[in-house]
Amino acid sequence: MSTENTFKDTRLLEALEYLDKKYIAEVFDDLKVPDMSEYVPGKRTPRKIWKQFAALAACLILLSLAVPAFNKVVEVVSSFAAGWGSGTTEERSDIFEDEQAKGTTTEQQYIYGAYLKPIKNLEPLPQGLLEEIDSKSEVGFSSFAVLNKGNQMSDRYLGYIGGYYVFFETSAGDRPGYFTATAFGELHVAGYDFYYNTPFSIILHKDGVNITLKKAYESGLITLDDVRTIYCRNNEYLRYFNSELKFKDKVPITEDEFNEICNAWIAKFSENEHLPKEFDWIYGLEYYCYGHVGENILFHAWNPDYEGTNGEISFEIEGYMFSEFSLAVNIWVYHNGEIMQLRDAYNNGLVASEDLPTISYMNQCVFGNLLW
Amino acid sequence: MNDKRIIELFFNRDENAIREAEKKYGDLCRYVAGNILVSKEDREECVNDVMLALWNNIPPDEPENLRAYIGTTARNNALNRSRDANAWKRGGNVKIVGEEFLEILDDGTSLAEQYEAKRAGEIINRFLDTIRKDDRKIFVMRFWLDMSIPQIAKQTGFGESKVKMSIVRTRKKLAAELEKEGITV
Repeated sequence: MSTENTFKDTRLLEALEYLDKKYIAEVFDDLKVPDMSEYVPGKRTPRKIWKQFAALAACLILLSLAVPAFNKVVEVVSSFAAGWGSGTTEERSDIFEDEQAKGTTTEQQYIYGAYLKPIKNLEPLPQGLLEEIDSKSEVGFSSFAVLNKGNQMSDRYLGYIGGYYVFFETSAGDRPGYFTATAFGELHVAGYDFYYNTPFSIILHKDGVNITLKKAYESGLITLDDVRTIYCRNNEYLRYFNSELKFKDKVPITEDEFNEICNAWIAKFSENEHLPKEFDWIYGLEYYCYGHVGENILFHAWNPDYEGTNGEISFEIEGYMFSEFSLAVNIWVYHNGEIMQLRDAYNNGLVASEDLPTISYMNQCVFGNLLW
Repeated sequence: MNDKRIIELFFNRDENAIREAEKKYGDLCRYVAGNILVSKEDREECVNDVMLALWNNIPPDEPENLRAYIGTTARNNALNRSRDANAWKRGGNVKIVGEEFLEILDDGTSLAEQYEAKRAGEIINRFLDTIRKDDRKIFVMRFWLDMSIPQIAKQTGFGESKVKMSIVRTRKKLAAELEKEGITV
């Protein structure tokens, strides 16, 4: 944090000092306080020390069991790595000796696959570029240099976008596929929220110079479309590693557009005094945007509280399949300040036939992840 | 011992009040301070400070909600300690409190001159009144108590992705609200 920001930030923190007591009480009333005695110096009881010994012993036993298993995994991964890219899913799964993994597309296989080549058909990296990056660190890369040597960066390559070779940096060491959902690294550029392990940043490389995504965009070196492309590709990585991160599938919209949609939604339902009872769930909605189609924004609205209790219904428009949860209408079209259902928008000519494949693809992708 | 009785002890200037308060709410203080202060010693000193503050302030204060009162005192004390220890810089034994919250107002240089903390506080309060209770609690836990995502998830019983989502959404909405009120974000 720069000195320039300090004053401003301090003032903002001062704003939080005016937080209404009722909101504070609301939190404290329900706050579950764990046993904090282990944090108190000199207060440890012999029982706790014994517990620690027991835990240590358990760790040692587990470690002794895990080492052979780990070696086996390394062996399997190595052989899998050698075969990646050339075989079918079935052939690849044969590499796993674990019977449970055979013939199935397990999450583990996804992770290994993603680790080896998370995004297909990326623009090729010029020969020698990684070595060059490794030798120069004007901007970026230097921050986590130990973890981001050039020879590892091929696994963190997001493509050639806007005239730059784009990489992400993260703390995952030599296993970029390893993603821990509890430790988010965030990056906010042009209204888009990028996530990965923490620490996390995205670096653009051109002519021997590295620049951060944020600086590149703010300096006008890349366009908003470039940022969107990078955003989508970063999310492609995420999708492999954590099924919890379902919202990563949303296609980015600008903050203004998001607000417009919210306002239209509120205008349509929330402030309607005749709001049907079954629409109460609207207040708990989450949005997944399918993107811009013509002058429309297509989005998926759903209530996470219904997860697991909701069936699936499917319908077709011109042969393209769309899925929704049975308790709600999920697919919506935002057009010029109004919100309507997909079928209505299609019947009114607001959604063209040629846009249906894209909308259907996004619907299936988002819906599939929501069901996961 | 119930809260009413503890407050009575404070009013009677009975030193057992401190012992009872520490017994009942010591861990709460440690938990709250633990989000702000990294060192164990600091946390313990914070608990002592809180007990002293209770002794000095009750009376005249007569808290309606002793738990929230002590939690708030602990949080403020921890915050002051972190400020004293050069809190607004990285490093050392303190964290930057509410850093994530600050990101929403991180552009422009003349903002600080225009900004009135009290006015912003009122806007935040009004805004919090309009959002769902769950989102509000997550917001307060995250930005006022500086709790981590896993901690909040554990407290609320929600998944971490849902907590994260709630924070991002609330932050965006708040930024919009502040902008609407003429506070550039």
